[in-house]
Amino acid sequence: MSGMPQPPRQLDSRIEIVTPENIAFHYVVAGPFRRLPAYIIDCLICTTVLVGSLIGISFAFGSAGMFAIGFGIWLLIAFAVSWFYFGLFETFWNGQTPGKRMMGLRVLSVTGQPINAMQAILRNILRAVDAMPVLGSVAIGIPLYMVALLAAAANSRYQRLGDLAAGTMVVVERRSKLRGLSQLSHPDVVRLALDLPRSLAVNRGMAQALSLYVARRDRIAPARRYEIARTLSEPLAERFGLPRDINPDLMLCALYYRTFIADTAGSAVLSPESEAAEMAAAEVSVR
Amino acid sequence: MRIDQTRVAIRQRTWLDNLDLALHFIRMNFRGCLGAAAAGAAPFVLVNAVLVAAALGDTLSEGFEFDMFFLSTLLVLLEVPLATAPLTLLLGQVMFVEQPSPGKMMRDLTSSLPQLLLYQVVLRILPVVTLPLGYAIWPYLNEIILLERNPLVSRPGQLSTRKRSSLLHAGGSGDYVIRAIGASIISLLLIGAIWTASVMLLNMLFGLQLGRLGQIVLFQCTIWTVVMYFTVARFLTYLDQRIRNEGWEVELALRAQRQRLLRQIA
Repeated sequence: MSGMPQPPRQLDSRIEIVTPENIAFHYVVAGPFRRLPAYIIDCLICTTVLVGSLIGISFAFGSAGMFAIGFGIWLLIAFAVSWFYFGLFETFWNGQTPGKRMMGLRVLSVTGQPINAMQAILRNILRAVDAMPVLGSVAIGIPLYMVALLAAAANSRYQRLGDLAAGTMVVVERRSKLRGLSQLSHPDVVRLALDLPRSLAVNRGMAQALSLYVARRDRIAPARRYEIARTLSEPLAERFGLPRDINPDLMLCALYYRTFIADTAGSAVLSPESEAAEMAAAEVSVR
Repeated sequence: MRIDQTRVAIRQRTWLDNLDLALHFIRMNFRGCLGAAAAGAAPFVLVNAVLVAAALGDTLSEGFEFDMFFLSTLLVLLEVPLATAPLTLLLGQVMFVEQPSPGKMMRDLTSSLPQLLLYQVVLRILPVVTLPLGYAIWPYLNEIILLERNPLVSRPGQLSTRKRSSLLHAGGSGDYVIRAIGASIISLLLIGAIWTASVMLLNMLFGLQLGRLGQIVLFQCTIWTVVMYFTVARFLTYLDQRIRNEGWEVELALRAQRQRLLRQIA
C-alpha cells in the first residue's frame, strides 16, 4: 500500500481522541472566534458585578464617611473577579463559565478528560499573556489578544498559550438530536417499496446514506435532488434488475421506506439497518 | 473538479467555525495565500497610500488617524473584488487538491474580468449608497464570477451569473446582513488590534516613531491583511452555503455506496 498516493489530510475542526480502552471520541474544537461570544458574555457579567459592587459599596461606606475603606474592599473584589472568575467557574462548573455554558462550550484536557483546578487556574492566569498587547494601562486597558490569536492560529486545536501550558482545549458540546423516522407516506413511495425485490439487502453504510438523503432532501432543490439520487439509483437499478426509468428520488425514498418503516412495522425487533441509522447520529465509535 | 477530494472536510459549519477554520487554512497554505494576496493587494496598497497622502496634506493634524481610516476604508470597499480575485482563484484550485497554476489563474482571471468589472466595479460605483450593501446581500458574487464562470447572459443549459447568484443567495438575506454586520465589527477589532500591536512593536523593538507616510502605508498593510483573511473566511462560508443548498455531504455518502455497488456488479 505504500506505493499508493495518499490524499492530503483534510482540514477540519473535528478531532479524534482515542482512550486507552480503544474507544474513539470525536470533538469539535472551538477556535478564537467561536469562543468570542462566550468571552464577551463573561466580560459583561464581570463588568456588571464590578459596577454593581462599586455602587453598593459607595452607598454603604460613603454614607458612613468611610469611602476609602469601601474602595479598598472594592479593589479586593475587583482583583478576585479579574483573576479568578474564569478559573473558579471552570473548576466548579466542570470546565464551563456562564458564557461558555450559554454558548455550549467546555474546557477539556487534551486527553478528553475533565480539567482539574490546577489546569483551570493556570490557563486563566496565563490569560494575561494571551491578552497582550493591552491598549492603555495593564490595570485598566483594552486587551487586544493578538498573542492568543497567533497561538491559536498556529495549532490545530486552536489552543492559546494558557491552553498549551495547562494541556487543555475548548470544545463545542454537541447535543446530537436523535432524528425520528422521516415520514414518507406518499402512495407512490409505498407502492414502489412493496414492489422492490426482497433480495435488495441494505447494509449499514447504505442505511446511513439513505437516512442522510431522506433527512436532507426537503432542503435541496428538486433538480439537484434528482441529480444526487441518480448517483445511487442507477447502480441499484442495474444490480437488482429494476426499470431504468424509475424516478431516482422516488427509488431512494422507497428503499428508505422499506428499510426503516415497512420492514420494522410488523416486528418488535429493529433491523440492524435501523440500529445503524441511530449510530449515525452518535459521536462515539469503537475502533 | 472532484468534490470527493477536497482540502477541507465537507460538512455543515457555523459562520464562526468558518472564521476559525480560515486561520487553520491560511496556516496550511501560507505561502500560496501570501503570494496571491500580495499579488492582488500590492498595487492597491501603493495607489491608496498615494491617494490618501495627497488628500490629507503634509501634517499630522488633529483627527489625522480618523481621516486616514475613513478614506482608506472607502477606497478598500471599492477595490476589494478586484484585489481579492487572485486569492479567490487560488483558493478554488487549492480546495480541490489541484496543483495551483499561475497560468490557469491568469486565464481564469482574464476570462472573468469583464463580468467582474461590470458587476463588482461599475454597478457598485454608480449607486454609491449601495456600495457596502452589495457585500451584504450578494456576498458570494466574486466566487460565482471567478469560480463558476457562468455566462453574462443565459444560454441553453447554462444559467447566467445573475440567475446563479440569485439561486445561491435565495432565502438567506437576513443571515447575510447579520453576518456582514458581524464581519464589520470583527474587522474593525482586528484592524485596531493589528495596527496598535504593530505600532507598539515597532516602537518597542526598534524605537521607531512612524511619520505620516509610514502610518499611511502601515495602515494600508493592516487593512489589506484583514481583507485577505476575510476573503479566505468568505470562501469557506461560500462552500458551506453550497453544502447547505446543494447537499454535498449527501452526494458524498451516496457516491461511496455507488462505488461499493459497482464493485459488486463487476
